Amino acid sequence: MNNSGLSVAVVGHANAGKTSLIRTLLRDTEFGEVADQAGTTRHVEGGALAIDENKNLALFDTPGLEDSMRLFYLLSTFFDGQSVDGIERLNYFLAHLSDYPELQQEAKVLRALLNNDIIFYVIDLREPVLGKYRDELHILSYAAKPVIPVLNFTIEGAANLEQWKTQLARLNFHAFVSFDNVHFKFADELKIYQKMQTLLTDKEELLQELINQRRQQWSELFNAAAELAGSLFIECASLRYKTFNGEKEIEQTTAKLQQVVREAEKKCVRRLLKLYQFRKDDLRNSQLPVEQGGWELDLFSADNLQEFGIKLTGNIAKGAGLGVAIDLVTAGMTLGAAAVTGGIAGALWGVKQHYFDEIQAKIKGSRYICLNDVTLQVLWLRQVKLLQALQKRGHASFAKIDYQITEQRRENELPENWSKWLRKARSRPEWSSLSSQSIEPAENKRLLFMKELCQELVKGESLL
Amino acid sequence: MNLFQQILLAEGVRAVEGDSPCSAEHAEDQSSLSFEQRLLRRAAQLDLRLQISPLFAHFKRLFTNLSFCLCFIIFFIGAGCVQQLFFSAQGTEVNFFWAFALFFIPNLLTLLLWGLFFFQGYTLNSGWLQRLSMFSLKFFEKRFNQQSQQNPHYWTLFRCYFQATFSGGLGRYQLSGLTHLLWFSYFCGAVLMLIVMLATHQVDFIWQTSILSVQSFQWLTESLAYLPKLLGFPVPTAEQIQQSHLGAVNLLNDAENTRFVWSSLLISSLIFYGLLPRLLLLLLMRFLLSSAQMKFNLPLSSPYYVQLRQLLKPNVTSLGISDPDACVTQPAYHGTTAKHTQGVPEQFYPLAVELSEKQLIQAREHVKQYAPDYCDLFRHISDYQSQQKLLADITNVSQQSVLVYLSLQRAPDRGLLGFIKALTGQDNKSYYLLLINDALLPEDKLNKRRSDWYGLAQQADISLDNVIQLDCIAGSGEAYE
Repeated sequence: MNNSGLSVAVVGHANAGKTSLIRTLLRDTEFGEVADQAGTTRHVEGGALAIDENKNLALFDTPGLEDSMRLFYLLSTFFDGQSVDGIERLNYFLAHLSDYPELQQEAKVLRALLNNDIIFYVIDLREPVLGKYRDELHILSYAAKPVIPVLNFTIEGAANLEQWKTQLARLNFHAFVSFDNVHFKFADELKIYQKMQTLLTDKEELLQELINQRRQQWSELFNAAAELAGSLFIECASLRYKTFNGEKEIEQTTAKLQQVVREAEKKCVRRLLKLYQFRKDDLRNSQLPVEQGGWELDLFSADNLQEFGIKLTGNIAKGAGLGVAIDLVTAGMTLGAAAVTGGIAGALWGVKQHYFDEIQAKIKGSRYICLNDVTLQVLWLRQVKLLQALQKRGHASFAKIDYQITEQRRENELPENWSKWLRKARSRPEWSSLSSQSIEPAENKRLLFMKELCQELVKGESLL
Repeated sequence: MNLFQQILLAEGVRAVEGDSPCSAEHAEDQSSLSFEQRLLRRAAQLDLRLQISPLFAHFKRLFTNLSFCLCFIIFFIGAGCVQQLFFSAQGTEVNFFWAFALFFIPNLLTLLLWGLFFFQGYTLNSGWLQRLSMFSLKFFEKRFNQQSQQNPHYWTLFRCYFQATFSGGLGRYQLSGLTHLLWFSYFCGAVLMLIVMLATHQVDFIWQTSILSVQSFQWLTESLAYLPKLLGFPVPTAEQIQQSHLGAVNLLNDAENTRFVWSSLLISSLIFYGLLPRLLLLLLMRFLLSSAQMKFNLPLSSPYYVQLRQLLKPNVTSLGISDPDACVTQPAYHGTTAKHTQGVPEQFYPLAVELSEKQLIQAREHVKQYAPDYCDLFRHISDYQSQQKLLADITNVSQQSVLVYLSLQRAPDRGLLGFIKALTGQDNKSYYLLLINDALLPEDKLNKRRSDWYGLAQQADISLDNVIQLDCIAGSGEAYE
């Protein structure tokens, strides 16, 4: 019994996914040992989720109940058919364990049942309801503790769901939850805690605290991940390299562009994996197909003109404002000349800021090379796919994460503002730290753009 | 080091570490500390190695020194403007309202401009003012501090420090404070020079107008003089105001007194309407700045801090092993995993153990096909009672071979092993395990599972040749391979 919080015994038949459940709840790929084999976990091992400084939710993994039929038979034979409570039978068995050395593993499970506040009974839904599982449920009912049946492998075992529901109801287990370790859903995790709340009313507040904390952590995690993916898009979309028009130079710059973008994507993916606490080798290696496009200055694009218009007006106002101040300081003796000069200087500065690099490059026979639209689309879609995969991955999953983009149209939907974003990012080469140009990452407009991207990334995915 | 400085230090560490935090770096027990406290402690520890705080102190000094430098210049500009006014004035007559307006109107305009920027925070924080300030500081630093290149993180920390102090509320108050400080210096210079000039020059104050009425000037002067008069400064009387109008005949003989009261009004006006408001605003900005510094928070939802939280204060702790395994485990089977699909005996007693309904149908079909005479004997063992009944009956079975139908996809467990062992230990019958493969498992898992069954067969003294696989094509319960 955990006085400073709450303790849970996670029990079930061998290979039902007990350790996987705990790994996923703890987001810990290293907890216990997971293998597709009975009897992998042979001792009781615990991990705790901190609720606050002093309280936690302790989860104890137990060996599988491999010989429940014999155990249940033994328990029912004790006390010569007298009407004795189940808990007395369990205690009797544990007291006489030396008579049953072959049931040492089962004894560990029984001790865990008696020592914890609540029991999670993990069910492999792919399995039909067999006699041994019924016996397991009977044994659990002897412990006189609240039991939450946790249905694992819900997708593969969907056909057995009704059969299991009926069986659970027959044995008075009505408060079950679905929690698929392979196809993880955060909402399912919350349902477990909510179900615990209904069964443990004296711990309701503590569990509510846990729910709130987990929600906040999940939301923070998702937003941080979206920020990483959004940042990668900005870095790559606003990246451009200046090169001379010679074939060799263009080739060299293109190779550099490819390498830099692939490296950036790799780095981002590694950070995402780390953030979600997955292993590096959980990912299926796939290289981003990078293609270059020529940077063309479109003087008459609507965005460009609008942006230029706003900037020009702003610069004129700033220049003129400075001029007015000078006029006033000189007691009006400059007759407003400073204001006019300031306005003109501001306008010229605006033109210089916006077009100087491009015009200079044209005159000098250079060009800018950037990523083409298709590459950026693939990059974006890969990040979206990866984020979705990470959100739905359990920490016991062994399947590799595949974020390669296929031809399926449904998956490859670009955001509504895609073209606008692209134009915006491309008109801001200073936003990319991948080029040699200095970056101002905290620049307000970049931050606002990042926010917009993050909202789009988060939009499709419910935090729950 | 106050809290703001500690937080700034943590931001400095973030700037140096870049994308992701390197290590947790905590030696002492920090179990009682919150994440923020641990974060600040870590920053303090890393500061010993990275030497961030001396740099930040240097940046603070840099800003202060530059501000004072600017103040000094502006002070002289203020003084110079007064001197210019008095030297450019024709004769000994100075237009009072022109002199006052020359100082007051630019101040008023910039004050309005500042108010606009201040209350529309976004405009002030849109970046250009921040960039301009940072550019100026960087220029001075590069020009005058040759040692700036020694620390490899110098410019990273420079950007970090000024981005933190020049952005958001902090930047707004910091730069507003600077604006008021500069105007305060300007007025200090102007007032001081005015006192010196008026002390050493004899000036007659007049006022004139072409389009405004005399009454309005009278009212304007009295309004202007209201506050200084209230605070005890000598101000011109109504008669003196009238007498100072250009062209009016001075009927009073106290010209000296008139000069004095007008001088007093000019000085006190500059103090009360220029210098004092700027000083008050400067103090207000200082107060707001220190409040904002106290409220300054780290962006804890950024990827860096989310990762750092996982490192410094993981919300998961291991409770270790509480009930260790003392038993010697059976070594895993490492022999062949090749599948046998042939070898079903001609006559056999059919048994099914723990099969699903679908598998049971498949098993029955198989029995019908290979041992049709024994269909009636076929039984499904799925609970303890049926197990015990079979164990009791098996010695009476006449067939020499027993074929046990099992599900290949299920991992064999100790309970099943115990049962099969009990079965094989009963008499000298030949036992066969027929593993029904529903094709639900991928090939690699299938090999592993087959190996598990071979392991069980080995432990139950069943020849591996007697372990046969029955492949059923997915979606059909009747097709065998």
